[in-house]
Amino acid sequence: MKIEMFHLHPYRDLPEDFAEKYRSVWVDVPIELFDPPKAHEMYNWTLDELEYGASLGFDGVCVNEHHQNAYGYMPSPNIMAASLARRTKDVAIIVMGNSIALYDPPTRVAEEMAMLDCISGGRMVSGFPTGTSMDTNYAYGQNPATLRDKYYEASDLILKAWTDPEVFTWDGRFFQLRYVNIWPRPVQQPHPPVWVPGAGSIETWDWCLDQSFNYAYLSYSGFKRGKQVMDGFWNKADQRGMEKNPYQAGFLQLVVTGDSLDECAEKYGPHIEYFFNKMLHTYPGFGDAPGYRTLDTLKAGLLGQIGSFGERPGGSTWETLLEAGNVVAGTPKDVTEQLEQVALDLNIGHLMLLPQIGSMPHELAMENIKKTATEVVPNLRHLHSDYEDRWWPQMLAGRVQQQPMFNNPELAEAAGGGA
Amino acid sequence: MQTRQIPVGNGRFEIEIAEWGDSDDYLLFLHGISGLHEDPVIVGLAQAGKHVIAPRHPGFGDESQTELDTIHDLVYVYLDLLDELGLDNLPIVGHSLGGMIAAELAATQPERFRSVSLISPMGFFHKENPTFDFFACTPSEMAAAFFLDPEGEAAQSAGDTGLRRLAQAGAESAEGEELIEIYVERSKTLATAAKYLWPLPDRGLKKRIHRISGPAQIVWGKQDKVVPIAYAQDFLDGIKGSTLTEIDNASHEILLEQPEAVLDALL
Repeated sequence: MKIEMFHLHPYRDLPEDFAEKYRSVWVDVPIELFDPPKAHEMYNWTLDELEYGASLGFDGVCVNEHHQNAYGYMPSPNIMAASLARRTKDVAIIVMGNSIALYDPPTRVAEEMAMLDCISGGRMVSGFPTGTSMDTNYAYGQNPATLRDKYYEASDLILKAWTDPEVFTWDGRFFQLRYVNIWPRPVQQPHPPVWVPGAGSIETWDWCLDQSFNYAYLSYSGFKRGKQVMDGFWNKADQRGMEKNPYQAGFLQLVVTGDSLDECAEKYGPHIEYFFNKMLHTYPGFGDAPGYRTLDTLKAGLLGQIGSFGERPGGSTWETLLEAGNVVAGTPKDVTEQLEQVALDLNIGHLMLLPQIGSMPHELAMENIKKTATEVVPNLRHLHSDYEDRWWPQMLAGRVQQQPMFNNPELAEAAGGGA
Repeated sequence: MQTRQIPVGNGRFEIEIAEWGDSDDYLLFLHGISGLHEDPVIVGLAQAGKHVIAPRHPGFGDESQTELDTIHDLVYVYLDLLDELGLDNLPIVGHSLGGMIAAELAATQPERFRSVSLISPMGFFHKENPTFDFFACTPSEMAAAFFLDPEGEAAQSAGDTGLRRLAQAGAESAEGEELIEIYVERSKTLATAAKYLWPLPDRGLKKRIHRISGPAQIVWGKQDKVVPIAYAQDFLDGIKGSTLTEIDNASHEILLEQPEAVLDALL
């Protein structure tokens, strides 16, 4: 199987009393909490952490897209991906962003992904998220009544823009373009694999099966709830008589690896509590714009993280999070066993691990990345080896890979700089 | 509540209408964002001899997704409906979102409507005095905005269909099946309203409102916490000769809170 490293790029320095003092980490989170010099540091930590993970053996690195929040402030994942394309070598770069209904015309997404694919030598995975309601409806003003239809149209348009050898005209309900003819086109033919991050909308299951897209369930509710959603996806595949290829599924899991569970609790516990109590502290009124979810999804009772209109539970503790499976923690052996169980029970071929969580500082994140990448990841790779991964980038053979100057003394010398 | 389906636009759309009364004195009533209900005002109009025709805005309260995306799409479908029913020269009454639609209809075909009554209509937006954001609120916040007293008699009598299900004491703590039902009702009403009101309720009425020619009256609850009464000025300025009736002790659910005062104004 493939094991990827995911990063949310959270704001790691929210005040202690954030949840008491402010109503939401998303949409209208006050900018007074944002410090640009700190953000400079944090963006570079995030990129360093992803590059470190890539160098230590993760198969891919994942970035994603959110807007107007302190939970994960990468409004443009393509900018992160561009940097990673130059600073990593053989890993896949998985952009779980580009909420395609937000961009008008969506050919912009087709162009940028094609650029990234050319720069990286065909290492891109193109995520097609619908985007959360907070991102798309409240922050980006998209009409929830038509968002999903617009999303489907954007997807069709992007696929055609990547693959059609002719200049074509697009005459849609949401987009009209007389001449579509994007330059460049992706290295990967016919196009980079498409992964759809899902949050439990049931029509996304059919959509992914129809389009041969990967369905990635990105939730922080852990593998226990994840099972309910992934079973829904696989049942659909079953009903339709389709192969249940684990590589058509991705799953996100928070992971901390240490020398003992006690050590994990001590070192990582507070940062994980920060994540659940602050990063998920959203105003219930922003949870789910009317129309964002279809009636079928509502009726299926898969509201997921939105849950209830009432106040968020808050006050999650390390113990309860561990118990509920929100986080997988322990020695390399424990973590490996638990992740193996997740991969097999949920039939997951792409396990996306989140090793930097909440307020976790850079050094500690690096420690967790190292231990997880070197002592857990290699022991999981043998799983699902009897399936073909048709959702993985077809990387260009003989890729040109510009070495960053400061890692190469000769180049640095030639440029007149120090090592 | 008697309802029937009327095909319009060569059968492309179907509009559900409810009717009260059977006289030839027709009146077109357009419901607000809370949904179509048998409210005392409608019953009172019928008792006073009116034949009330009240369409359910397509998508409201049913599960259909229509291709009606804009207020203009809706206006033309309603003109088709009136053609189909052979109705001309009739009074039009609209409340809330329905008031906005009524104003748009009367601006599009002014000669068709004998009189225009707009009760706490939407259709304008001023960021210095914003309308309530019912797309982003909790049930208790919604109840507190729509009703003068969310625990009071009017709120108690509101019934539990449409948006009123949400604006009810207790919705906050709903769980399981009940929570799902509330979400479904919310989605069926507000998702349709979003086509005309998201993210702000201004769809350019200010560019057309001057075309309304019939006698027009504006009716507003003095304590409206959803669309503040200050918005009445947009309608008074926009419609030549229009008058304002201010009604005390009413928020946005004025049809429930002050039915008699509203009826007095309409009849």
